Amino acid sequence: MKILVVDDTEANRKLLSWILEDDGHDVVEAANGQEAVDLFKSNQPDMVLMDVMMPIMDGYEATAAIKDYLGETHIPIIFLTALSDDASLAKCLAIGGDDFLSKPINEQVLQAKIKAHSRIRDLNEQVGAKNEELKRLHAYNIREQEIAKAVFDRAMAASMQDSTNTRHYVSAAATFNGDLLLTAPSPSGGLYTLLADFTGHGLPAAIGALPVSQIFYDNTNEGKAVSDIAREINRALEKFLPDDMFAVAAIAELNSEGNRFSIWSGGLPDILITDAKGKLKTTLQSTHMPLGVLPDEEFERDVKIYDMELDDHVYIYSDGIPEALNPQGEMYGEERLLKMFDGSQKDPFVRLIYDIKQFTGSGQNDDITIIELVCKPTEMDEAALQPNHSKQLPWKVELDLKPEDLRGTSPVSTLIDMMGVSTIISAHKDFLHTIMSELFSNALEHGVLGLSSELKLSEDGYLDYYQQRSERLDALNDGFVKIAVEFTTNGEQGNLAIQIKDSGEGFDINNMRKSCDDEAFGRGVSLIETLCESVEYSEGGTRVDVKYTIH
Amino acid sequence: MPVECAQDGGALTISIVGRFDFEMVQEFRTAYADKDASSYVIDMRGTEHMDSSALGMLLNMRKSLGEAANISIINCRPQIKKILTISRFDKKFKIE
Repeated sequence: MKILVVDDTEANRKLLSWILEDDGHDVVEAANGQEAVDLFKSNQPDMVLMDVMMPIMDGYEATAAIKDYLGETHIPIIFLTALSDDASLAKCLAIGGDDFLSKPINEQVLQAKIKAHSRIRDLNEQVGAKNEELKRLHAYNIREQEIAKAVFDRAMAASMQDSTNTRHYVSAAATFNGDLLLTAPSPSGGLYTLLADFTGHGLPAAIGALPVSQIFYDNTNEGKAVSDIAREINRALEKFLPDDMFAVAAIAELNSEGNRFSIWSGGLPDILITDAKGKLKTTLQSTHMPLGVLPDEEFERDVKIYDMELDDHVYIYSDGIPEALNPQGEMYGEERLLKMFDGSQKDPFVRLIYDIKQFTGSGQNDDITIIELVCKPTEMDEAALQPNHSKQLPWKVELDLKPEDLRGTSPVSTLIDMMGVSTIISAHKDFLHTIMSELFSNALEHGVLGLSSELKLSEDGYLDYYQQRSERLDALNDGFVKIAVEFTTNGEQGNLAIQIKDSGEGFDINNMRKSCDDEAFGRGVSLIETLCESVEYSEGGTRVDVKYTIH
Repeated sequence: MPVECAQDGGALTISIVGRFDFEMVQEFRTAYADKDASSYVIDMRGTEHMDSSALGMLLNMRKSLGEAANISIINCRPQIKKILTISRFDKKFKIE
């Protein structure tokens, strides 16, 4: 260790030097305060032994000057003093000294104090180094956050501005919270939206956002079905992101008339649908695993399709809203959220954002991502992107499904993919999937397997129903479901004729009509009727013919 | 300890107390890694909240133990059950 010894008496300096050098230290000697300050600066010692009473500049003044020069760096200064009154000793410490030793110097006490102060100095050095490291990391982190934010701002900038159908709010927080909100027009005049919430914050989350926004824009530009977009994004994220990184997300489409809403959602909080007056009509719970979790072959493409009334409002948001914390650490919660949608608020969207800001009391540091969709015609220019029907060739597909085909996974997805190769059908895949899944399961379950839908009425019945379904399917020896799909076009519009026949006993067609009003199982059929031109049952209920028009 | 581990015969029970979030990542991994167990039970009796990184930690556990490993999640509070339900974690875990 290098030690600066300051004393105006040469004998004292020599004595101390002799002791210290004997212990292996390097010694620098100064004869007064001024010299001490100068030598301190030029020699950078590790410790100072300082006399108090000296000519030119005394020990107090020199100590103050050295400590001032050091700033936050810690170098111990130990006073050597013949003074013994409490006030003088107190002054030594008050001025910035770290300790004092009484003259005449006791060698053992001197050595012990040097050791103790050397330990303190080492600790200080370590803390200082860690502090520097932290400062560096912090600066690095801020830089990363800025990059993440820039990446996201750019991804979102390509998004549409709010139109007559949408309003959105995304926190203007300084750092990126992992939420991505995109909207885009569809070639047929509808509107797509995607809200994704990535695990993590900052740069790691931004990495996932790049492929998501790219796939979203590419696919919406081509008018792809919501389920196909979800599947593409899932495939990309599953392939590129580590296992514990994924995005909870909703991907939705509102058609150009504003009366049909299709949605795929995984892991997001309940989506809210209100009437024109802001009163909650229903909530849609997510039904899928988040994007980027399941391998492609396990991915579930089911999209929910809803008929909307004019001026219905849809609210899609991330968990930043229900999980917003107030200064007491309490969550905003679902109850407060739903209260905004009891019909008493003139503008629940604005009111909700205001209420959360009030609740958190943070002003700037909120974490809100929400989009409002208003169900009404989109007024978007669709003429330019209309598909050209005249170039389409007519085609027909027939499937004759035997028991072994019926036991496997539903053939509907495969069939829809075959049909979707035809470009003008591709945009209709979600509707067709819903229609055909419903018709196929009716033909299989009520037709071939002879299960009664009344079983499903109670909760236990539901389990019974699926139990019986699986037993009967396993035991099935003969029986069939035949599916035929025919596409024709007159140059103006395309027509799909879908026919499904089953080997079952059929049913009383008139009786089924009535039961359609029933909530528990009639919903499927009535939705199909609104999606199609016509639905006709014949041959004693063993055959159904559906006409679907592609405009 | 926010993550507690107890083994009864072949079943390893991992109890998570407080907030199940990113700060537990190391502790949670240590709780199941390199343990010789026939089944795994994650007890959420004392879990007040979980975020998406906790979902990620559960998926990591599933990946590291393999699809065949028997992992159940028990005693979830309603809020936590909801998070697991809307993310369809019942497809990968037994939720009781």
